[in-house]
Amino acid sequence: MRVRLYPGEAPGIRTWGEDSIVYSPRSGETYFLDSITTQGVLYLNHDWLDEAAYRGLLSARLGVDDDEVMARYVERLIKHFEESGLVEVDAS
Amino acid sequence: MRLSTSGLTIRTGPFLYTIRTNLPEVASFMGKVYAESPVVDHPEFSDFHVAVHSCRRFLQPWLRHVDVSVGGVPLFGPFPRQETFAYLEWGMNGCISRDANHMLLFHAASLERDGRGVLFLGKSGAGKSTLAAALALRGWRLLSDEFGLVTLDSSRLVPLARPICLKNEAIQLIRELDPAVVTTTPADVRRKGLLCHLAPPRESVRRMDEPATPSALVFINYQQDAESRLEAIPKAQAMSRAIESSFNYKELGRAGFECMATLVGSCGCYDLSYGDLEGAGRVMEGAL
Repeated sequence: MRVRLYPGEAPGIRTWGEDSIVYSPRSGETYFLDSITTQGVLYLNHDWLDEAAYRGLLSARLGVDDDEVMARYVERLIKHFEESGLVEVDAS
Repeated sequence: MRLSTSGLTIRTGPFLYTIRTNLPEVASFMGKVYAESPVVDHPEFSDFHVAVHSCRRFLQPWLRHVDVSVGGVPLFGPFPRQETFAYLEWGMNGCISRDANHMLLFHAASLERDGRGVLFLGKSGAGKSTLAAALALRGWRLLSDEFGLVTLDSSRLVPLARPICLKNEAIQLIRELDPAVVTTTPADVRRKGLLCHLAPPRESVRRMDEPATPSALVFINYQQDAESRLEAIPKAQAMSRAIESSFNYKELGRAGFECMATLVGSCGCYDLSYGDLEGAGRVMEGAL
């Protein structure tokens, strides 16, 4: 599964320390992202979410090693971004 | 005379208000708290046309009531005549919060000290107006007790220099700080209690064309007998909270986001807890 930013107007992103505020031009909404989700935002800057790298982050930052737990984090991140209209999911 | 015919046009900050009324007490009110505001003779254009007129309610024709309209459209009323000044000011505020979408608007008090602008944000009843009055008496330049107006292109604070609304215990508190302050006579306003208006300092009105560079966003919280304390808060959290205090952030879309992010990025962000006005003033002046 891959996710990528919607083409067109890029979201507004401001990161301070470990937290971010993201504006989605698609939905018109503004979101506060905690540190873990912020890291996911930074990976989005490369157009494709590097899921392996993100899982590496979860392991390093939170000590998460369980595949199922990681999968839930990834799912939460993607769901958050989908709801915000920032990304589209390529399930292929 | 002009108030009851063509109307009196005054300038407060960037806005022209033309006020028309058949109530003599409104003329007295304007003379007291807008004495320093520039009067514009024969304006080619006025931003807001506010009319305050007596009326009678169908069910209580013997009672004296008033209504307020803007641009000919009823805004408030009818309400008891003793509440006229409150509703006139709220009507003038409503004009800005509804229409001034060329700026980012906050429900906030805004003041400036030594070239540094500060936005004081907080829920209704947090004490923004009282704190604004107290700081103005300490020599801070009052920009507004009701609004933070931020320019979208340069993120600067725009002054209004209008009267400060004081309620209930705040009236006596401010009079104790300076018995010579010019205020209207307190009136009993439904659901608000006693309410009066404090004339803005002359210097604030004189400098109302000078925007201020914002230096701090301060979220205030009054706690009786608490020691005054200023604590830094994370910027992302500050931005989330500031968005909640904005009248029109969402309507402005991307421009609102960019302006808000620039504002937060360039300012210190703090929580201010205080139990007395003197302490709050000292803490703020020490921090700037």
